[in-house]
Amino acid sequence: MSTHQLTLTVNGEQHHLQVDAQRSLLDLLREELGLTGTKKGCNAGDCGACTVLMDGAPVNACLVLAVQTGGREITTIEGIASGDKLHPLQEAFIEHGAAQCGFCTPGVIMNSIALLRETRQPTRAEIQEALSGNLCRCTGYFQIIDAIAAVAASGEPV
Amino acid sequence: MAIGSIVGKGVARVDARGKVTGQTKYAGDMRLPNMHHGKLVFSPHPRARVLAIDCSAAVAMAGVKRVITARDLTGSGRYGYDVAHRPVLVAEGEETRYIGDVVAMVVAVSEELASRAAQAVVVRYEVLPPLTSPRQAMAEGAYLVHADAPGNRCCKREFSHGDVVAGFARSEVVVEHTYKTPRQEQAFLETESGVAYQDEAGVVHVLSSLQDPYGVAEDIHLALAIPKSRIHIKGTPVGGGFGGKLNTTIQVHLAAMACLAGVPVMLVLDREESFIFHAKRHPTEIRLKLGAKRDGTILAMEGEVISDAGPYSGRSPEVVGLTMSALLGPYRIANVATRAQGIYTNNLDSGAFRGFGAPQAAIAREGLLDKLARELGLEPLELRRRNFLQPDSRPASPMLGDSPVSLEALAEKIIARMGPKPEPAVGSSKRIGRSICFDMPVFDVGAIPTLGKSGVGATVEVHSDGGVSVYAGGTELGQGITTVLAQFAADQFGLPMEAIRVEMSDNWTCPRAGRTSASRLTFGLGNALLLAIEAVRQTLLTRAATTLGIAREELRFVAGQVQSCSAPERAIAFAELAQLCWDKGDNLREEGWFRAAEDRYMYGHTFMAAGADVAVDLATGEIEVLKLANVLDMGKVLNPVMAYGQIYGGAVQALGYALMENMVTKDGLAKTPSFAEYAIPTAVDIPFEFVAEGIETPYPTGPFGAKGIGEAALNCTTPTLLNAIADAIGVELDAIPVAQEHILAAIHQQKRI
Amino acid sequence: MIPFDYLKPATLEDLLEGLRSANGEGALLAGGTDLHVKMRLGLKSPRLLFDISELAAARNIVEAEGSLRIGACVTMSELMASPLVARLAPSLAEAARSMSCRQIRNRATLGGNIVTASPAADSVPALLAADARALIVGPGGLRELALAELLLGPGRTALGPGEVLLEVLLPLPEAGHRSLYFKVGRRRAQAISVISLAGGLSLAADGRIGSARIALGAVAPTVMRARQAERFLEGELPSAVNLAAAAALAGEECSPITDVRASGAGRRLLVEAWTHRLLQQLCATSGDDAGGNRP
Repeated sequence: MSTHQLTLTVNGEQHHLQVDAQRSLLDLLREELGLTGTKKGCNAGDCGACTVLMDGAPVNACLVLAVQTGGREITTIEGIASGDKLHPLQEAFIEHGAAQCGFCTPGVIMNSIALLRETRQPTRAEIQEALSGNLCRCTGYFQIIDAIAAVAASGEPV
Repeated sequence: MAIGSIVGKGVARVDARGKVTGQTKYAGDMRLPNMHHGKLVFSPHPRARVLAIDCSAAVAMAGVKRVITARDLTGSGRYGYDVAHRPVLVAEGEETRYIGDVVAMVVAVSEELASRAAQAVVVRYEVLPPLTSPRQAMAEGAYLVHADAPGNRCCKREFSHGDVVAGFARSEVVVEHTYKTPRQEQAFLETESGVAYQDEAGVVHVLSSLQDPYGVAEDIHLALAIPKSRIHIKGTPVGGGFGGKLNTTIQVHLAAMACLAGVPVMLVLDREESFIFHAKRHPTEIRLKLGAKRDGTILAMEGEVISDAGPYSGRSPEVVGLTMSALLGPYRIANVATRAQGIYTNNLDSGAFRGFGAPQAAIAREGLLDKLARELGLEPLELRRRNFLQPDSRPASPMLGDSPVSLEALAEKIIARMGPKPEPAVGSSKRIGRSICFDMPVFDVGAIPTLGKSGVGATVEVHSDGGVSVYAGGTELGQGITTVLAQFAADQFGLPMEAIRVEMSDNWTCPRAGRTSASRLTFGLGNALLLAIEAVRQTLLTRAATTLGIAREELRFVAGQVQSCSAPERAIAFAELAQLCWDKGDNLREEGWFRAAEDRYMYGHTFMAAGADVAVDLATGEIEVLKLANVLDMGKVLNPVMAYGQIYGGAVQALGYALMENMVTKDGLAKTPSFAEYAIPTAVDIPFEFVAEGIETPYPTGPFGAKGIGEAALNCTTPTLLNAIADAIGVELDAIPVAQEHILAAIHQQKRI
Repeated sequence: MIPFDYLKPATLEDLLEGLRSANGEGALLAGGTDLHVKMRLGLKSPRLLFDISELAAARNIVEAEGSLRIGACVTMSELMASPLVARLAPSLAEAARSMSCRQIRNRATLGGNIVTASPAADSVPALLAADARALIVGPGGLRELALAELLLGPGRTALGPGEVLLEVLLPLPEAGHRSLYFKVGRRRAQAISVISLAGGLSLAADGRIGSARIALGAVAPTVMRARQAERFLEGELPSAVNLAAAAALAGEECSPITDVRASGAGRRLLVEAWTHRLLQQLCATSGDDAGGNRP
């Protein structure tokens, strides 16, 4: 086993950490930084509940080693609201009933942010395609797609 | 209900903000001082005798706090709903009954270490041949999974009505077929999780993801001999349940670990453990027979259900019973003989899953109705309409009910919503099929003696600052009950939603409310809360009447005030009134207790219609769900955003059941225990067009006329998809899931005939 | 999971040196989408991980010396976004698109998809149908190998100790060559292939089929070429009868097993049906050259 010095930025804040080689980014966030908004649904890259942005791209945090994130910028669900003002996608998810049990929600929102930053006006089919890595067992996805489409249509910056 | 009431509006969920910000603390997100981690050692064999358990290597590992086997347990060491025959830990000398049986558990300082210590527990087994199908288990001479269950029969239910022999004798057309359904996994995103600790007073606190805090307390009491007064169960926000967390899951194990290790313990199952551990939808084989007159009048039904109950009883008697009852559906059938059996095997466990046995029945019934329609040369929809229950008729079924029958209204609505059937492009190898099916999903109104425990309590308290607390022991699974109850309180007190705080799922702070299942909370808990609220309202009104000098009957709760109906300017602010009551010593905390009349035996019925248009490419077998529509008679749509959310979610689970889901076992081992192999629908698998709609025929005893709707969409949506596919390809289908290769095989088979 | 050490070699030379001294106990980490899962399940337990995800020598997509050269550490997302791949290997871009989901495609690499040697690997049919070759570097220097010879069986490759797949070389398609990729899964995304197939075809001036290449995934121990079907088609007219006959041959010459995803017999039916569809679309006079659709 080896430990590694690591400097990474999470939600705009720089952290200097010592991590074990086998520590996943997901466990680093949840266990060492206390950011439990990112969920562990399968720990195998099959469900998307741990989706975070790494240098802006959505990845499954369970499949990234913490040591691989040196110098990178990580954004989690805790890092997207501005103080008390929620992110437009968070507002839209509330309004459209896009969260039921809520367990998949952080991952879905993080992936949606990445989508809307890449494609400002996605079609419904593009939204569906982009979300295909985020399993949701409650909503049947309809209201999630509605929420994302509403933010896309609003033109609000994400 | 006051004009402009919040009841019926799609107000935001009260728990939404926490969920979209990641602040909601699920059980696995909790961190307690000195918290240790537990790990279960599962049996790798579906059936084996445990010869010896050697914990010495695990015990010797630094950081391992405690290793526990059956001999460490006090109490019976057994638990379980219906029959308390499930061992917490399988002891040396005993046999395992499935791969979800636990033989030891480890408590260590970290999850990683607990895992390694669990692997270091050495168990010697004598591997024995398992029973892996109900047929095999029913055979003469088969070994008994439970010594007290001859023939491995877990349960048997029978129903007869009229004279089925005469009914078939008078029938001009008789059809019969056998349908097979697979094991469906709830696939909630949050695995079984919890934290437990014992405090200085000896109270065991279990904070866990569950659907029934009272049932869990009962099981812990049974298994570990802890007095009920010292068991505190707090349901944490549930990351999906769908019935899979209805029975006690890991909570007995958690409590035992916390007590024996003397430290707070967290246990979170990993995905594979979760998939093998909890009880799933019963795999079922249903033989069904229908007899009818030439004009389509159904005269007789005969049905035989055999369900794989898995290793333990649990909910099987109830679920299998409902499969049998639901065979009749929303149709008048004068002569009926049906029978259902749940059979013990060493496969994965079977139990509750949204729909509770009824979806299997709907597949057989609606499939056979289409076959009957073809035999009769009738439109399938017309056949169904000719046999609908009539508004004045009660079902000839064990599922008696008092819900107004609204099938014709549903039929009209679904026809309108489906619109004209689309045509495939000219020259395309695609064919389009359509189906419309009906059902009468049940919800528990507290009048089913076999379920017992029918009373439901809820408490409301108005604080001196005018804020309101609701204590309701049901559990928020994501279905929205917290929000519905807040809407009720806001409506009744004339307050904004923000003034209401709802505390749920806690056997200490909330009156007994029973389990969160059978789509029962809106009805039962809602009614209990309304009773509680009414009691507090009366106190408030009395005080307001005295203070304002207005007759109580003249007063109403609106816009944060109690005011005169005729002269609204004569009013007292709600908060001011609450403070006044406080000062005067009035009791503003009341418990409502709702119990159905004892002489009744019935269910509520949420009548529904489902329609589907499906395109199937005859050349490749490719299936596209073009359109899916669900219309439910909800009695009253309390919150359309959440109500339709229940329909969308249930319907997509039904779609998964129809097209892809199957938790495969071989020799009692799970072959698909991951989200990679157990496919559930993703965002690109949903219908191209989806209609969710409610009609409102008020249910007289429902709160605001509402019914339970949580499970309904699942019921007849699967057969609607299946029948639409069959319509497209012109070949009957009798097993799910249906994939491309099944379509190709069916077409080939038909060509050969 | 067994504890391991992590190294990130800066250069190819450092990597090869590291692998040498690891003495067979090292493993390469590129996207990690497969390796992490196998390690957590205890199926693999390397002592040392060499992170090659940013190894410059394996990160390029270039057109050179009559080949499209793709670095082994190019991610699926990068394949999808590459104009070169879109132009020169559209069926590979489609294969990449069909793989799993965005989060995975952002990490998973082409090289990883190849060396896991799964019969259901999404990219491999497109590569085999393009007669791709593997550029391998190891203790003995560089060597080139036909991709078909690299893949020996489920989870088995011809890579020797200390050898690393560095690049994949695709011969440039001849003018008028068309290629397609199809995948059948239990669902439309995030699916492990029930079957997959890729095909390339060129029509001669006289309307006859010049060359035909058909690769089938998840129906044999390795991704395979449907040689009998290919030979049957070459020099023939693309008539309805011929295409159907070739598709039937493909269905016969594969050797699918029954597993939790489908039966062997069902897979044969799918191979025949989708090979037929593939050939029909390749021979159609109109329509896009690239793409294909998901089942």
